[in-house]
Amino acid sequence: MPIVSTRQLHRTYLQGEGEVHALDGVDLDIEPGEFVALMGASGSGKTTLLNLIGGLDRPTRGEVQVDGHALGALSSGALSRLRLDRIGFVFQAYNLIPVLSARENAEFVLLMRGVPADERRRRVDATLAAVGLEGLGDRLPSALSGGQQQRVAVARAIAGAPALVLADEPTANLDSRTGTELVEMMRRLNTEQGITFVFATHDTKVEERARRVIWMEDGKVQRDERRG
Amino acid sequence: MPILLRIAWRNLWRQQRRTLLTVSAMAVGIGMCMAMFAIIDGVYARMFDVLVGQALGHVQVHNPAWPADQQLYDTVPGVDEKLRALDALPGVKAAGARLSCAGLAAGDQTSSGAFFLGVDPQREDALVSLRRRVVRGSWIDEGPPNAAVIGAGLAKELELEPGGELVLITQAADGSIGNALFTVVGVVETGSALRDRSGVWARLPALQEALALPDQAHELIVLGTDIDGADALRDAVAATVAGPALLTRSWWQASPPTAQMINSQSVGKGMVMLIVFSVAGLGVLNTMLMNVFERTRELGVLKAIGMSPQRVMALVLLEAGLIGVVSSAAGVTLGLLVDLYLVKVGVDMSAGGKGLSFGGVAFDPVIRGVVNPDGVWAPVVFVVVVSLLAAIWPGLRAARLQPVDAMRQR
Repeated sequence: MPIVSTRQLHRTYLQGEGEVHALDGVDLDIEPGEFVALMGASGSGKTTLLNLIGGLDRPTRGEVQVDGHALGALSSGALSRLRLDRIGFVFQAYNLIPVLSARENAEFVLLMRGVPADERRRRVDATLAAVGLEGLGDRLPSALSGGQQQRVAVARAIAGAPALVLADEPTANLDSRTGTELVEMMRRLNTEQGITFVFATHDTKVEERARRVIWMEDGKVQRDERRG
Repeated sequence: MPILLRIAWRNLWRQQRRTLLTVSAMAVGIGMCMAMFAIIDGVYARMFDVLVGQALGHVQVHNPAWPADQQLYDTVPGVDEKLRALDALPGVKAAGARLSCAGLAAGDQTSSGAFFLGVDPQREDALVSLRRRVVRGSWIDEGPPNAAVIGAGLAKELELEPGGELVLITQAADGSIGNALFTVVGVVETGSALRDRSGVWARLPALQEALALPDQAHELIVLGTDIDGADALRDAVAATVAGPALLTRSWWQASPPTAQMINSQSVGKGMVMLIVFSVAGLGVLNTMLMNVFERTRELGVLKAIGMSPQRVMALVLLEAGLIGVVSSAAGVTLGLLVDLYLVKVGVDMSAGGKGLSFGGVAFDPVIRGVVNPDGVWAPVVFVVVVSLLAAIWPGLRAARLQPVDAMRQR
């Protein structure tokens, strides 16, 4: 069963007097364990698609299913719960909680879920090690570099062992070397832990490492390319 | 510490100056309220002590016709026996009898209308002690049986000083013209202009004789050991001493305006709290709204990564609640320091060196604060509740944010 499934997905925004069709009938299935890059120019609809898959926005028309849940049928609270339990997010601007340390940020989802302290500690230690942040757990985000902050964001996204991680331009604010390291790290997590990653990106480094690249244009899927 | 509390506490200090300003305003509000309450409680405690404890007594016994008519003949008979019975009654701290009349007071050269009050000086000491308000001469028990003490205003008008003689001319109860010669032994300043201008205090037997009212008085005043037991004492006095033929009332029945005034204390305190904390509430509302507006993106992220709307709301309420708690701690510290001064030193309420009086009763012009527990916890509870109420709107706004819209904000 696909982890993500969209059917005739439309998202229209009002802009001034007119309408903008950010998504225009997208049909898509993503299987568990995939490493998918949504590519396309700005305004092609990739971030909108990512937001709809993550339940951060509601479609104008059509349906999204994530991990077997039809998002349209879920209340705001139930959507929050689904995101908490099954989806991890990595944003372009890191979006860490500035008053929490790296460890506390990584731990946040587990705390929200009410995971016991011992298990939380074990999982966060393992996650921080997996993203290469051993020894930096006590630092506040403001004391970390951009690359380190994005690693914390990835740690936060994967600490809860989600079924799906959605990453919106995760390398856009990073220099080339740091961006490459980050993509390599996520690819490794995909391989080792079987986490499904879906990226919205312009970054060719992500495209090169993706097993599947979906090209978008004017709110539609232009090309869907699977790679070995 | 739970994660929400941890975030809320740290968020509070991200805008340190704003939080400190809000906390300071609310702490000053609490401190002001506590000081105001201490003064209000002090004033009312003093009023209660003087008006109820010393003037009205806890229980009064009258002729049933007295409250409406206040005629000379509306007396309580068998005063000596009743006072002895009251002395023996459990729960009675002091009891006294008062006989009063209006009449003409004449000095050597002039005369004036006066209000005569016959009292037992020793018994009256436990009720309204005018002994310490004697400014010249002595109190009536230190003179001959016909000794009288007069108000300072009357003394001036009649040109009388201790050692002089004063004649009472009035109507006696037997229809005759009652008259008596008194020796002025003292001049008193009661603090009440009316009493100072017209008051004459004499021994009860002397006035009873002048008015042809032997062993009678217009009222018996009973002071109990416990004001809260006034109604029970009333019932005991009515059952064992006064009997059904006389009117026995608690202080609040005898003087509803006094009861109303004393009860209005809580209204006054409520008004102070309402005004102070309405302003403080607006401060918290402003702070929390700015916090929510400034952190819209961050709150959107929290929702995006799975924080429920209820938890987002709880986070905002927690921040406001913490402002209330911190303000309370600072405010109570400040308030207790001010209270300490008010209790130890007090506030001199005398205008131009003159005393204070209310309802014809003189008060000590230095009002000392009285600190009651409700004067501390009420502002604290109120400030925390106001903080939480003020945060509901910002909290709802935060809870209803759509993650995708919120995260677009810079």
